[in-house]
Amino acid sequence: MSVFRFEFKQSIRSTLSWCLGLTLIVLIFMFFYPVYANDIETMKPLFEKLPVILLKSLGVNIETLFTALGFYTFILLYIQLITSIQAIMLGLGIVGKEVRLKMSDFILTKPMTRANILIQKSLAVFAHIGITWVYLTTISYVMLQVVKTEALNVPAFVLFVLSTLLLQILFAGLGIVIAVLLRKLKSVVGVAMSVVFSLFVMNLMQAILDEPWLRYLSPFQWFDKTYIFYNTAYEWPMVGMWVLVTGVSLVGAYVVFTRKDIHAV
Amino acid sequence: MNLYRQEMKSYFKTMVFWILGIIFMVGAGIGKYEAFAAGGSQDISVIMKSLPKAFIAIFGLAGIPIDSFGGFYGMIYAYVTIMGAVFAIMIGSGILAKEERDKTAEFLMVKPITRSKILLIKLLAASTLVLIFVAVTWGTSAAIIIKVSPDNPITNELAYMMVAMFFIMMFYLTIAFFMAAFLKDAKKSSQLSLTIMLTSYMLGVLMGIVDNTDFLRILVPFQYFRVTELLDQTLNPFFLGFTTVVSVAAIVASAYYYPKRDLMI
Repeated sequence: MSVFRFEFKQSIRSTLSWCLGLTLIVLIFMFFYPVYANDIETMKPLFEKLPVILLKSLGVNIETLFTALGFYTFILLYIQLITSIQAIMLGLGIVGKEVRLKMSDFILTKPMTRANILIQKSLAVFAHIGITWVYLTTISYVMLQVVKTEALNVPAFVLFVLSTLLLQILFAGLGIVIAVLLRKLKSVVGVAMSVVFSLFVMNLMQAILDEPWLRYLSPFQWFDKTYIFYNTAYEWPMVGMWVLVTGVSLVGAYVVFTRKDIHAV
Repeated sequence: MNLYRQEMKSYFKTMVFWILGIIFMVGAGIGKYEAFAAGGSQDISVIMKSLPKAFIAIFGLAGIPIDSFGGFYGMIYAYVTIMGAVFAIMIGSGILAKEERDKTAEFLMVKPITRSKILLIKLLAASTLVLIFVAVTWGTSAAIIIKVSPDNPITNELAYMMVAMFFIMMFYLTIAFFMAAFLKDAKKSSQLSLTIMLTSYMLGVLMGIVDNTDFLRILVPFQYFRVTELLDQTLNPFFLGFTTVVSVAAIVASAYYYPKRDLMI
């Protein structure tokens, strides 16, 4: 487990700074919930007059929109943006390190199979993701308990935070497979930013595009908040997409890495 | 000029992908206008005007009047600008740092060309890439707008938006460029640029939901030139000056530090 230990240690500081950033976001935004709740209270009668169909098409659920958890789902999109960037950077950084630094010969000459190396490295990635997620969930829960005005909808909360973890795993998988596939990995930040922001902006653009098929290609839409609120469940086709993409990434990375011709320099 | 040609050549492939991305975003976005207008966006925007700021932000439309074609295009402009910032940061932090990262710094530095000249030519190449980005967005938008909205081709509004986008991109580009020129560690400098981008984006989100946060505007380049102002055909003079001063200062500081610092070889 020496590769795991080494890689795990290497990223501790970066995980700490990601956690610090997430703390700031959750604290600052949730701190403003009472202000928002005050504003919105006066609007409630107006919403109750609107036709249900319109509200549904806007993705508004009156019961939940005004709650602390409803407010949390709004910032969840941005939290997921940040955790996704972290996850893909971990995958690219840890698995792509040898390619990037042109020192594949160093690790590949150790008495260890390639599969073993990749698995230990992947475990290091997932360990950091797990730590970040547990921490994020804890502060989210605490902040929700602090600012809430009514009982917390625990099943919905669990589904929301779990969707963050699923996106983290997905993007880590993408990072790992990209790191394995690329002959040259130039900039971790560059690849991470272009992949995550493209998908993120694609998600934002759905406000205009509104194409049902595009949802399948846009991971940030797979765990739709309104759907979760209305049904307390995930949409099965989207979960299927998640399983497919994550599975193909991780298995693909394994298959390619154990066979490919790796250039030492 | 050999160096300039070399830089343009090395970013050719990247640029092609980005151009395809822009054409897709702009084309798919504007193409949806008819469906969007027919879907009763007027009704929605009447309702939205009476809603509190925080609520509107949840739709990701903060303050953009979507009841006109200009407002509709403003949303697309906002999305493309996010991608523009990502592009500018990638180029800015990569173009200098890649010599040290790819171990080609020695090769370049022994050429009979001063470091300040290298720096300026690279900056010129990076600025050209930003210009291409803006020009492609401008051209594609104009071409599609003529087809979709021949009565109201928003020529002037489009020009204002594209100029604003150019300034925002140059702002991020020069900051990322300075980080790469000033810091020895390419990994650190690109991570710092990413942090700056994410922080400014999140502050923008915060400004969207909380009232009386205009004092934060100076930290959020995405808010320097607001869509409502651009639609009135004004470029905020203060922020126009501010972006110019910061960009020039970043370039001067790069030209001061880069020739002096140790290269990591």
